[in-house]
Amino acid sequence: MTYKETLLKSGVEIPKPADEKMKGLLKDLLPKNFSLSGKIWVGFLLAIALTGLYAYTLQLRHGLVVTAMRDFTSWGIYISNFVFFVAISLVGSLVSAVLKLSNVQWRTPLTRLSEIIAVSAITFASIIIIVDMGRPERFWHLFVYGRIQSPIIWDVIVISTYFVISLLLLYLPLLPDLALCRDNISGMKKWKKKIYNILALNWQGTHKQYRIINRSMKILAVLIIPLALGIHTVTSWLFATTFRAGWDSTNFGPYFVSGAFMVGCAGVIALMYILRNHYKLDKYITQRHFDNMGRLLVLLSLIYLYFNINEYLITGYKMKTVEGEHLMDLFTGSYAPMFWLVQIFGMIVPIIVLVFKKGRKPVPLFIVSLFVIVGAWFKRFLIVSPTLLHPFIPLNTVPQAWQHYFPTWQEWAITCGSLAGALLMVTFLIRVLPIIPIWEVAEEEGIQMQIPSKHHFN
Amino acid sequence: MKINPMKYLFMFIAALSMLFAQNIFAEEASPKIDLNLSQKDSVGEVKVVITKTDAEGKIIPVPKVEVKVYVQRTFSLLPVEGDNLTTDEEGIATVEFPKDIPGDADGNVTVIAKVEDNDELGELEASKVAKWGVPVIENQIVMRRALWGAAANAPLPLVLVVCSILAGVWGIIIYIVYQLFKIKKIGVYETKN
Amino acid sequence: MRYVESNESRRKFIKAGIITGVVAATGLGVFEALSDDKIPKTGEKIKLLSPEGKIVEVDSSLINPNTNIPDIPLSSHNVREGVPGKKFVMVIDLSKCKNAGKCRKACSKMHYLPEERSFIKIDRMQDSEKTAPYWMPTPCFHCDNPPCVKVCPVSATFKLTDGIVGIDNERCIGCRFCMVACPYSARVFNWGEEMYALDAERQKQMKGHEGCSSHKVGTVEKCDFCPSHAAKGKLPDCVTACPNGVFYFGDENEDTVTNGDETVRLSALIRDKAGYRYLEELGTKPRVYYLPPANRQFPFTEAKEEKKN
Repeated sequence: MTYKETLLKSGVEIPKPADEKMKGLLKDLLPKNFSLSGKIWVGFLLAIALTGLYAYTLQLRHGLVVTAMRDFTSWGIYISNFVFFVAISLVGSLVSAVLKLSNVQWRTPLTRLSEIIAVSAITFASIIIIVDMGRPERFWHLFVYGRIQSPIIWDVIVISTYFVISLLLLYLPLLPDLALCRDNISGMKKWKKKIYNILALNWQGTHKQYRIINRSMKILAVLIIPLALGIHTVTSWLFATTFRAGWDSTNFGPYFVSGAFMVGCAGVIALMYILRNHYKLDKYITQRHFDNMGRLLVLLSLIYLYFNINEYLITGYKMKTVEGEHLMDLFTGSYAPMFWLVQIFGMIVPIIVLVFKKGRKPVPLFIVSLFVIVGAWFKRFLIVSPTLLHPFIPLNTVPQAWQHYFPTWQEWAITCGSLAGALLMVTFLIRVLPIIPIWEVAEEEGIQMQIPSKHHFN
Repeated sequence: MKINPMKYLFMFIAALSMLFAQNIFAEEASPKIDLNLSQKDSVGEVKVVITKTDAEGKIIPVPKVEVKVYVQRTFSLLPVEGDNLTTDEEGIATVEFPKDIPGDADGNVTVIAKVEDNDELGELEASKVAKWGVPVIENQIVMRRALWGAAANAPLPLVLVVCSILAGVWGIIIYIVYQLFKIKKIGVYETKN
Repeated sequence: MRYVESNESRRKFIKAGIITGVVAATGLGVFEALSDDKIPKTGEKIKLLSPEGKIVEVDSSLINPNTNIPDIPLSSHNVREGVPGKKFVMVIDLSKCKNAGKCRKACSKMHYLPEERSFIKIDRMQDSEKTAPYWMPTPCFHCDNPPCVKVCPVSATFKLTDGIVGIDNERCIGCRFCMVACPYSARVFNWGEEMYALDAERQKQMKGHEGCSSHKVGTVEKCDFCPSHAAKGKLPDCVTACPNGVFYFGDENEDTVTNGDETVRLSALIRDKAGYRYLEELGTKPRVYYLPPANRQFPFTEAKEEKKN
């Protein structure tokens, strides 16, 4: 028996040589072609997105009258969808920045996922807000005639800034991986290789280049945290700067931000579960990751619960005229079923389940994160629409049809289309980019990466 | 040929004058209303004099005529206080002009005296401008810096804060994008050597 | 020679004039005959949005064949210019309002709106359980601290020197933030052409009103205190249409308001009849004052027709 065989028999793991490890990494993590299930998934999303696009052409032709919005309920599910997208996009800053600056080591496999979610969500937030405009062709008025006193202009500023920074946070750590993709994916078409090459910016893996990346990442990580807080606070000010019952609250900034971090965390959990199972990434996304993300989700949910209590208990204690009516509508009136389902399954149940270690196993954690995401979408609907049905001036002389709001099929189609579009963008990015940063994993495992130094493409 | 049109025109005018001559040279009573504004011990006094010409052509005052005094306003006439103002035997009605009526920027007001629906005299009106109004100082809130102001009238603190945040953040972004170009340059340098 | 020439030219001129006149007259007559009032039913149905918010189908022959929005003679009034030297203010006397609805009719006629969608609404108010209900007409209040102007991102709504809060329908992007920001629900939105499709009958009743602001699909609209009237010294249509003299309108600089019949000092009216502003505590500083419904001229009656479902 050779020495190697004795070791193997006794169950000792023999360290593999460096390039074999590297080959293994590359085999696992380089982007692969779509399998059948991938193609079905894309087809399904495309169908929904195209239906949404068709509904939007109807809206362009006839005006916003195709929606169910009327003079009193002048904001509907387009706006709540917009708030939902902005909320989810905060996850980029959570994982890339907050966890990075707290030196949390296990976050490495999740950084790219969260940036992909962030970039896709912000893109579709901008798209859905243009869909909501009565005159979308006048979008440029915002930049030429903008009033700096308007919360919408603040929102435009922070969203564009956040988008650029998230894009940079996605792109910068991607450079080494793009070079790896360019060099190691077998049987790649020439035009694809060219794109990888252009995007890789002549990455050669020199010390200087690594230093630039690391320093830039640190700067961006520090910069994006106040910006992430800013983006959702400013979005909440779209509501808090009005006098409406349910919106006239000083609590809205932290309330929205905590909710955003919570739903973003749930988004990352859901995505990492699906990808782990689909691409067999068990080695990289381990039980430890689920456990820790689960704990993070509990913490964020508890913070969100705290702000919910502040928001509803204090208003409920006073029951000021119109605000009291609005609250009763939420607690016991027409919106009560939705409200309690959302609060219980979207916030309380996650806390209870995830406090226990057994609850933080992949499958229950995944189901809970789905509850959180769906609950968050309906929670934002509950924030936008019921308030508009309780104006100061009583609705009693208004035609019956205007006293309720239930979206039309065009609104649903466009909203689902935007969600499908965001998922399509995520799917596309996952298809072309390595989901887990290969070079960071390699660095952690001490593997030396070899990039052909004289590589020069025309 | 040239004279012809002139001839016809002259005849036309003559005919018209004959039609209206009746009124111009009427013998009937022609009432007149006169408005005199005078200042008496820092109080404005409005004196309305109603006269008419009698059959002999003499101008006589008309007593017991109800007179109304107004101030001209944008959409209507504001009545000046003075109950049942009627002319006395000399055909004069006097009323004190209130001190607190706003005028234009210089303090001008247009005072109007009217006789409305009098059986004998019909309707008469006279107006005069006096500097008896309180001058209105325009308080242009629209020009001030305010949150509801035009884009150019934003409150200064807001402008400063937003601009400095924008400059700071985007300055950093531009620096990082510049670093990306530097990466490319290093790569090119490496491959050449 | 000159005399002969001028004679000739004069004759020619008269001849030409007579011919032109005859031709014009016949032309007009022919044109009249051609534009037939009796349009046969085409059988094609067009969808209209009824005031109750339902879609109804109407034969297309009843809709103006040229355009669904009638030919509105737009005012040449520049929306961004205020009437110099004025500060418009309105006082509404709630003790005289009995929901006659004439103000609504006149306003929607002035602005080419379906009647129930006029810029002035009459609300049934009841401040608390035991206090008496009353009718309250609410136009736009043209606030001096306007929440709607604060939030507009593109300066499509603005405060003018004469106190009016105006809207520029060419600038508005349709984000509807101002509608949400207004606590008085004064603003309405042009959701689509169906909102303004008037049937041929109603269109015939509407004569050209100079001064109507433009309607543009996808923009916000509201009461504008009829500035083109005010520039000419005419009162807004709601003021003149009210049979009970509920609305007083005037210039705050002149301290005078009038309802068409009586003209009073603004300060005296508000002082003597305890004028107040709606939701004063919000700090919006509205330019419309209300006189409380004390010593009512008419007893309160509920709306006659029930709002249809």
